[in-house]
Amino acid sequence: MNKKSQTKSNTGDEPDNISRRNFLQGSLKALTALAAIELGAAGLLFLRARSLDGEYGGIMTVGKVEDFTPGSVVEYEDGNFFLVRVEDGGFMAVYRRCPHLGCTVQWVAKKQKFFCPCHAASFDPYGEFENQPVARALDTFKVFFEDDMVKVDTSQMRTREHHSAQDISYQS
Amino acid sequence: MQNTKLTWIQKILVKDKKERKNIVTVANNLVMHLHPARVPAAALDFKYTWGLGGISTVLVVLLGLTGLLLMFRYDARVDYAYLSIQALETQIQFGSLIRAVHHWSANLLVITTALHLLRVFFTGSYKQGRSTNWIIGLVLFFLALISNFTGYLLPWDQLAYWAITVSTNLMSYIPVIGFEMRNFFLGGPQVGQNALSNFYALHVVFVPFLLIIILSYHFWKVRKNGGISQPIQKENQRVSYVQTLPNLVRVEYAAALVVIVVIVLWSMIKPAPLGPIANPFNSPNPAKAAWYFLGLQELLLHMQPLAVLGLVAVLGGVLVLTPFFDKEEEDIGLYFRSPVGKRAAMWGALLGLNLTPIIVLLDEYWIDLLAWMPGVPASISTGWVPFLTTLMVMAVIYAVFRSTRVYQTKKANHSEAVLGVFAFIVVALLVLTAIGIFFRGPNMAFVLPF
Ligand code: HEM
Ligand code: FES
Repeated sequence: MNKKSQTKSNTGDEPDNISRRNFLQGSLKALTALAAIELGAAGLLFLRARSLDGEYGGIMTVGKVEDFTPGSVVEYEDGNFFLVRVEDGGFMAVYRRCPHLGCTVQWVAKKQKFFCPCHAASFDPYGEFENQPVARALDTFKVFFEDDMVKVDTSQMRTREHHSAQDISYQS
Repeated sequence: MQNTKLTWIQKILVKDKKERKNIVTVANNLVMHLHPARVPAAALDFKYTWGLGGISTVLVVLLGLTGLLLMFRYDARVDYAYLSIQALETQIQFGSLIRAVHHWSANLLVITTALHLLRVFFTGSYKQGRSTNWIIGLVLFFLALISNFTGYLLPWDQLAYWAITVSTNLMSYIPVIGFEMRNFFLGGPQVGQNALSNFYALHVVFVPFLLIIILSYHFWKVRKNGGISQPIQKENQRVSYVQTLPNLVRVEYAAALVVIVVIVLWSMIKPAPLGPIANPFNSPNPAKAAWYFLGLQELLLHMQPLAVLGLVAVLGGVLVLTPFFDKEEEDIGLYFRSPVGKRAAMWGALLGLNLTPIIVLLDEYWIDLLAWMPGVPASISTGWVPFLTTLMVMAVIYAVFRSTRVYQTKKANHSEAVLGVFAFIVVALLVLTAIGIFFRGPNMAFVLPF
């Protein structure tokens, strides 16, 4: 069929004719591709994350400084953190979400460790990781003090590779 | 076609002789769209295919029917999802049964499609122009897993919530796009209403739609490839054929009935499980994935997420590429290829059976890569090191099969050596799964089940 239409056409020379047909066919393909991209992009944008904000935020007042004995770990389920008072009197607020795959870690007082129920990650009281599956210490929230009260800023999570002394807050 | 008889029900329903004949013709015509008129007698041998493709198809039909029923009663809003399942279990007539049939069919489908895949691999049925259908089969297996995965969230109990949290977070370890991808599927950074809506739409429309289209193509391709694979005939042997109607159709019909009866009976005895309602603030302990993912979860205890994903990707890639590198066609249709292949498979399986528990135990009580390599980033010591070691073990097994006398004086050819490594991987995965199911207790610590 191609041949026939080519020989039949008496307008101009052949190469010109073919290139026009090529042009039309090419544009058709290009337009189809464009339409596909447009639809694809529209679809993706339509489906894209509808909410990107975290679960909570804001400042929580957790109690008087002297209510926490050094070496204690207290869980705040609604704030999603553990308040840790380390031996030398400093404070840390350790996020409960495991940096591995997102389960909530649990404090096991007998062993003085955080354990994750999902893939056996364990962390020391400072949140430092101790074994294979994870590669990062537990995240923390900022702890600060006002009028002898301990406050935790849960609006911003601080991620860290390893634990360091700067992650501990002291009442000056 | 003449030798099909009317069933008694057709005789009662249709009085007119001519009309009766029409009905039979139409029904047979439908069958004839799926099957050729005659099939090799050997293709009917149950011990060759174990009917696994057919059984999987029956399960898909059961899932479609029960799924449709469930849709009328299920409510995909986070505050109501769990309640609607509870109502199904306690108030709605036959609700528990319908849900159980859906649940157990879905679980069985994972098993039957996996076994189907194994059958095809072990008989080399991806050869002789069947590479496309092999890849389509892999896609179908993947879709069966995705159906299960998306359905798993819907009851909105603790198991559902944490299984989906963990596995979607796994996605976020994929380099570059992982994080975005996770947020895209969940419709946000955490499992919530958006995730439930997404998973529901995927589960009841998107995946079943794809599945039906690809499944039809799969069937068509089997015919196009000249039916299921058969051993190559010797010069003067002739293949004996039988009529599809009634021979093949009767076997299929009987198998379908057995599957349905077994599933429904089982569902009457064991209802689908339902845990406590999802609590985003507390993971259950231990928090285990669905049983068919426990092998992977066990791997996650031993190495970094990216290493596990890497191993899965390599395995998937190798499976896709297998037909293109395995050109030994003379052993098609024979279980384990040859006496050499049989030996290689046996050795591979035995290695998997013994090596896997030993390594798991060593890692549990002795190996401590983090401590042994102080100063080395964890991404190397517990990521690259176990990843490459695992691949190395497989490469060594392959090399040994190729270079030693596996059976009598014969070394394994490529096809037979790959078979041996494959047997190793399958058994290793089974062992890991068994460890995950039976030997992991609270905090995923090693426990004895007895
Ligand atoms: C390949 C096929 C399918 C598989 C493997 C599958 C798997 C599952 C699984 C594992 C669940 C969780 C229920 C439980 O285990 O308790 C589920 C739930 C559900 N599925 Fe499916 N499904 C399939 C097809 C369908 C289809 C075609 C529909 C709808 C037309 C559907 C509708 C539903 C609904 C409404 C639920 C929620 C009710 C419940 O959780 O019991 N499914 N599915
Ligand atoms: S989610 Fe905590 S160890 Fe995997």
